[in-house]
Amino acid sequence: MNLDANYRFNGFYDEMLAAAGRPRPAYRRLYEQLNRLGPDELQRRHGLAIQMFRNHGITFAVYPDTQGTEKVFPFDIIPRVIEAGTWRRLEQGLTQRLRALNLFLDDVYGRKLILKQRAIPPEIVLSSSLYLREIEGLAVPHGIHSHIAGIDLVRNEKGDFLVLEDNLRTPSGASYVQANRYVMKRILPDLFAGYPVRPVEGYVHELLRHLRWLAPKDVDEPTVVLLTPGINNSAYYEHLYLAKQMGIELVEGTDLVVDDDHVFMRTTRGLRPVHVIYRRIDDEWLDPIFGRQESLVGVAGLVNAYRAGNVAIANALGNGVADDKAVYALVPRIIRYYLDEDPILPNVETFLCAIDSDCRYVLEHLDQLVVKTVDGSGGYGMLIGTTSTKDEREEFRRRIVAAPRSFVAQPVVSLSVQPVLDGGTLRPGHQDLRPFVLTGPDVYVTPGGLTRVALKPGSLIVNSSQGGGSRDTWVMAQGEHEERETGA
Amino acid sequence: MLSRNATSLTLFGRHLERADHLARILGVHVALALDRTDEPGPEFWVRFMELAGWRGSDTGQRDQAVEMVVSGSLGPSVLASIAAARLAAQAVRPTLPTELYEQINTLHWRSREAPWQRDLYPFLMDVQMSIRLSDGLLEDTMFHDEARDFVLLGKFVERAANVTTVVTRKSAELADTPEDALEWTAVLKSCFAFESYQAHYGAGVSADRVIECLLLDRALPRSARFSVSTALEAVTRIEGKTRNSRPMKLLARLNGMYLAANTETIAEHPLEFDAECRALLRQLEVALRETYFHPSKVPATVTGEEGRGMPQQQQQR
Repeated sequence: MNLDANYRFNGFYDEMLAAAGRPRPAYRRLYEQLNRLGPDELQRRHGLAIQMFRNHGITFAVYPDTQGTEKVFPFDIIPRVIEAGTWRRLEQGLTQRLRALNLFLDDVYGRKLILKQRAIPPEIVLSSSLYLREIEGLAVPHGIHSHIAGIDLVRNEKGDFLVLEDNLRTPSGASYVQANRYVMKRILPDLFAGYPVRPVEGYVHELLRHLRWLAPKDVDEPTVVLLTPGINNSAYYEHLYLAKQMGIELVEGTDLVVDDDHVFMRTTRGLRPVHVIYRRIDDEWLDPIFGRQESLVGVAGLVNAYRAGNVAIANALGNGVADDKAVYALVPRIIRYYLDEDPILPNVETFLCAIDSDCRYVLEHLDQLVVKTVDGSGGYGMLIGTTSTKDEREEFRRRIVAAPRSFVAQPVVSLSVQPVLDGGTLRPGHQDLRPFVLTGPDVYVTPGGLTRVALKPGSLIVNSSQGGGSRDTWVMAQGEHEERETGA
Repeated sequence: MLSRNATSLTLFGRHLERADHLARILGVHVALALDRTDEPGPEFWVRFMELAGWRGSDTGQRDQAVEMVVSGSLGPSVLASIAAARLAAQAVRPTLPTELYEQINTLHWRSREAPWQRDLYPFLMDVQMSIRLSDGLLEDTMFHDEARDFVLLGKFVERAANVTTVVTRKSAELADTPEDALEWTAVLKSCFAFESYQAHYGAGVSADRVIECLLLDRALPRSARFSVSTALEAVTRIEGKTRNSRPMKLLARLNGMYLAANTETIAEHPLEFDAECRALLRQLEVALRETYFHPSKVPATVTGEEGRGMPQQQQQR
């Protein structure tokens, strides 16, 4: 009996199965291999994978969770396959989007032409709580603001990719891309047979190359560090993984000191200069002089050193304005304004509560929409209208009326599904995709990115903080495989 | 190297050594209790608890003593030491070989889930052998550089203190009689040195030779003298040729103390020897902090530490 004999199609676009027993072309060989292994063996190997994650220390923290820092990131062993042609288009779309967003950030913190020419409503941008007036006019190295971005993509009911969110501040998850591949290669090597899967290991080398490129001009051998909030942070595994793979120091705020607008780290042999900081600390906590005075994780005087050009910080400060969910709705217009091109990747339709007509519509259709706070992340602070209670909708109604600028709403996207292994049987699980885009001397897009899967039955939320997990993402290399699979 | 990393590496070495030491002395004492023809009284376990670092404990029962030394959280215990070593390793994970971290991480999880109440001996053996494996990974896969030297520093200073305490306390308790030979054998086993002793010294177990072997032998890695001299070599390498820091001076003094000591003096005044050794180790702790762990006089922050927050940064997940 096939694994999908009792699979219940739920009306969403299924990336793997066109119908019962009929895998889509790209998945055909994988489907055969999975059936050959059978449910018990797959379940056993899933157990081995989880054990590997735990032994390897690939864990994360969910703050309200009582298990603290010791939760293994849930993992599904059925990989996602993306064909070369599809990926090429995604890569082009992501490159285009990041080019435009970088030009936008440089403009809104500089000459503000897009606002002066009212190509987009200036009040939406300037009223963003993530817009930092303090850094207006600050020249950043090479004019690049978003060095590391994570763009969340979803597939709709037709299978088309849409951009759901831009993450331009401290996007997390690149290490899980590597970890998933590491585990898959060891637990299910047979599955790779016949698939020209593009490797993902190049990301850390590219990341280091991009970071070194940011160093002040007079520094030949820059010291690059990764600044972490510390061991209790939910993404600490990612921080240490990236630092280790790049061979750079993983520092905490107390390891750094600023003297005369130069940044140093405290070593056993005294102070050593630091030239580039890949920070994984939010803007407001980065420097207690600049942001929140009570910050224990920041470095006093860091922003002044940055302003003096003695240290580069990636990502640049103030990027939040470009991933504000209200500004997200304007990105297609931003692309057209700066690049004079149509967006390759469309957005999800978005209603801005800051605009009266949109706000009225949202309030009248709360039970049909997904409402989000403009500066939220991690799947927190959302209302999913279709599954909400009357009380929850009333609560959101009150909050929207009180602060309309703080909310946007979108139709419930029919997020695509792919089978997940659940106790030896398959059931559909919604998923998204977060590719990572590095912008520097050139633009680099990770082949694939992190596929996040909603592992709770029926859930649409893929965030790890809300019960989501991940799976390996296989981007096919160009070549005969693509033609063979699609033509089969 | 980052000062914070130096601290964590030293703690990593120290806590692993402590876990190993506690597992070993517990196993030896549980076996020793069984070897005795009479049921050991509360005094036996009270003395054991002292030896394990639970000062002032009045635990006179085997099961309580075992539970506290395996899993206690208010004093030195095997599980707490492993957890502390793992925490220190987490803080310096980019510096440690992946396999070494995984070894400590899996030991942590395995030991938390082990049915040690039922199978104490396999549990203790697993702890000891896992730590041996970690030692091997450290030596074989890591650069022999400053990072390794800080681990060695933590490990061998801890070992010197532990061995000195075991030997001097037992010297104060036991007589050099055939009746106490069993206890002296246990002392050697507590320090993982019984077989080496037999091979090197032979001719039966006697108090003076045990003191000679465990405190003053220059070639046995389990001896206090060897440990101090290894710690001194590590600091010398960390310092390079040009510096003469306070940790180096203190370790040189400690080394000199073991070089100058003889078995008769120690056997006559064991607790004084231990006290002198501990006084120097306390000074060393302070000196290490001032020299390597917090060497910069530049303040880390502008405002005071009071009321400062440690936010959970919102990583975009």
